[in-house]
Amino acid sequence: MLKDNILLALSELKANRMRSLLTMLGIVIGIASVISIMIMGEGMKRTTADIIGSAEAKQIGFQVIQKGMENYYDNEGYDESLRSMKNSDKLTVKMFDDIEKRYSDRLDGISLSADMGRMEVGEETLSLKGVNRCALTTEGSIDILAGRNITDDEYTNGKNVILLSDEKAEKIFGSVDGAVGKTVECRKNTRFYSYTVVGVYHKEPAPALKAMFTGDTKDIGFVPYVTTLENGLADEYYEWLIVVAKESEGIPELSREIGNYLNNTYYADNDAYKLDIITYQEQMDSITQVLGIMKGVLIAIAAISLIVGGIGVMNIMVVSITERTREIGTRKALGASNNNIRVQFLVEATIICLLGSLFGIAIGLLLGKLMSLVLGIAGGMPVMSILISVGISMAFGIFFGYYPANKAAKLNPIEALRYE
Amino acid sequence: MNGDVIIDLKNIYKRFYIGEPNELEILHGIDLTVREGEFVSIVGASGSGKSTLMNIIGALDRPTEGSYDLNGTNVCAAPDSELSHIRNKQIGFVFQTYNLIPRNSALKNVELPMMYAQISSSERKKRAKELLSMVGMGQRMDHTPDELSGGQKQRVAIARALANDPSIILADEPTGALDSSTGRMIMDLFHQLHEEKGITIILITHSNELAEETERVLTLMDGKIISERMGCNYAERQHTACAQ
Repeated sequence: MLKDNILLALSELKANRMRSLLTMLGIVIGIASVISIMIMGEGMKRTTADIIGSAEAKQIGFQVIQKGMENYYDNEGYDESLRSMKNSDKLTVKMFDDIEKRYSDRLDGISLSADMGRMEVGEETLSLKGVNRCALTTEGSIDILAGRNITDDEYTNGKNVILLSDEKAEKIFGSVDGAVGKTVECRKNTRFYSYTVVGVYHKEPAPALKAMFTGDTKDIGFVPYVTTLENGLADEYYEWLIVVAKESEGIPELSREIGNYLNNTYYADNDAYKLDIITYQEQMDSITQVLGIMKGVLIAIAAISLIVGGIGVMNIMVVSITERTREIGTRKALGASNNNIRVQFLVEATIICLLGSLFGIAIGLLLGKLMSLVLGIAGGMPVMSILISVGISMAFGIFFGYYPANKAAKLNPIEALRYE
Repeated sequence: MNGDVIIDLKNIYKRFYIGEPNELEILHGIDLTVREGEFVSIVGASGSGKSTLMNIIGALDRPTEGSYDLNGTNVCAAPDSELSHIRNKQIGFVFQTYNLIPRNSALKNVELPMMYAQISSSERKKRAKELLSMVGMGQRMDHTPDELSGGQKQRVAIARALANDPSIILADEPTGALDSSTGRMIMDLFHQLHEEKGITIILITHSNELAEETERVLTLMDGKIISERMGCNYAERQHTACAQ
C-alpha cells in the first residue's frame, strides 16, 4: 500500500513536472543553504583547530602601548596628547634575557627577528629577515629541500649564512641544488652584504583563511639574528616581543603571568606606556566567536527559507487537492477510507519535500566544496547535517502536508463526485 | 430464478437542512427489496430523488429514517470506516462521467478497488487483466483514460466496478454521456453480465426505453415509488435468448 502510494505520488509529480520543481525550490534553497553553511562551519572549525594545534598557538605576543589604551582593538585609540614613545619605553634585549631565564622551564624560547627589508641580488629582489632558532619556528613549518638548516653555532656566533626559499634559489642560481654553497651578494642602498647559502627550503603557501591570521611569508631569506645585529640591521629596542611556550595548554595563564611580571618590573614607573598581551588563541577565540554568530544568523535565514518552502508545499497541495476533488470522490466511492486518502496526500507532500531535500543536499555539497576551495579551508562531509536535513524535510512534508491531506480525507464523497 | 434478498430498504426517509427553516424532505418512505441476480431499473425525472436514493443504496449517504440492510449488514448503523469497506466490497459503481482516475492506465484503474481491499499486487494485476478481457478491453489495458473513447472508458469503469466481486453493480446513467449506438453496446454488456454471470444490477436512468429492457422497473416521482412492474421488453429479450 505504501509502495502504491509512493508510485502514485511520483507519477503525479511527473505529470506536473514544472509545478513540482517550482514547489520544491523553496526546500531546495533552504536545504542547500543549510548544508553549505554546515560545510563551511566544519571547515572553519578544522582550520581553527589546525591553528590552535600549530606552532602559532604557542606564541605569546607583547606590545608596547599607551597606558589607558588597553582596549586598543576596540576604539583603535591613540592618545594624541600623550608624549611619543622613546627608546626607554621600549623592550630591550636585557628584558628578553631576564624572562628567558625566569621562565626557562615553561618557555621554548624568545622569538627574535628583525626585518632587514628588501635587498637587491643582481636583477632580483630578496626580502631578508634575521631570525633566531625560535623565530624560525614561529614562521611556520618549512621543508629543507637541499643543504641543511642553520646550526646552533651559526646562530650564536652570527655566521654569514642564509636559508633561501626554493623559488628564489631557482631565480637567482637556476636550480635548488645548485644554490647550496654559493654566495648571495645583497645590496641595500650603498652597502653590500654577502651570505653563503647553507640550505634551500620550501614552504606551502598558507591557505587564504589562515593567511589572514598568520601572514604569508614563503619567499623570505633567513639569516641568523646575531648576524643581523652585527651587520647593524637590527634595532636594540623593540616595540614588541614574541615568546614561544613549550606547551599549547595554559597559554592564557602563562601570558598573564609574564605580562604582569614585565609590567610590574619595567613599566610600573612609566608614566605613559605599558605592555599589552596578545595571544593567537585569544585572537582565534574572538574570531571564532564572530564566525559562530555569523553562522547562526545564516542558519536562521536558511531556516526561514525552509519554512517558506514548506508553506509553498502546503499551498500547492491545497491547489492540487481542489483540482483532484472528483478523483478523491471517485476513490472514496471505490472504497478508499478517509485514512487511505490522508496517507496518499501525506506521502505526496513528503515526497516533494524529500526530493527537494535531496536536490538541496546535492547543490549544498557542491556549493560548500566550492566555497571551501575559494577560502582554502578543508570542508568536510557533514554527514550529520545531511541526515538531519533528510529528517527535517520529511517532518516538514508531514507537518505542512497534514492540513491539505486532512482536508482531502474529510471531503464528502457525494459532493466530491459532483464537483466540476 | 432469483436468489436471496440482497438489498432491503424499509421506510426510507431522507431530509436535508434538518431543523432549519428550509428543511427539505427528498425521500418519503421508500420500500425496496432487490434479490440476488436481479436487473432492476429505477426511472424518474430529474428532481424525483433518484440520485439521493442511489447515494443511499451505494452507502455514500445514510437515510434520515428507516432501515437499510445490505447483504446482512445494517448500513444505517455503520460508521464511516465501515461504509468505506461496504462500498469497497459490496458495491460496484458505474458513473455517467466514467470517473476514471486520469493519468492512470486502464489496468491501474481496475486495480484500484482491489488496492483498497489490500489484495496483493500480482493478484490484482492478474484479476484486472481478466476483467478487462471480459469487457473487451484486453487490447488497451495500458492506455490512459484520455487515450480511450467514451464507450471504452465506460467498459473500463464496468470492469473496475466488478473488481472486488461486489453484491451489486450500481449504474447511474451509464449511457448518459454516450451516443446511442455506443450506449447500446454498454447496455448489451450489462445484459450479458446479468445473463451469463448472474450479476445483480441496479440501473438508474431517466430513459424509459432502456428501463423497459430490465427485469423490474421502479418509477420514482417526488420521492416515492409510484409504480413497480416488469419491463415491457425484458420478456422479449428473455424469449429471444431462449429461442437462440
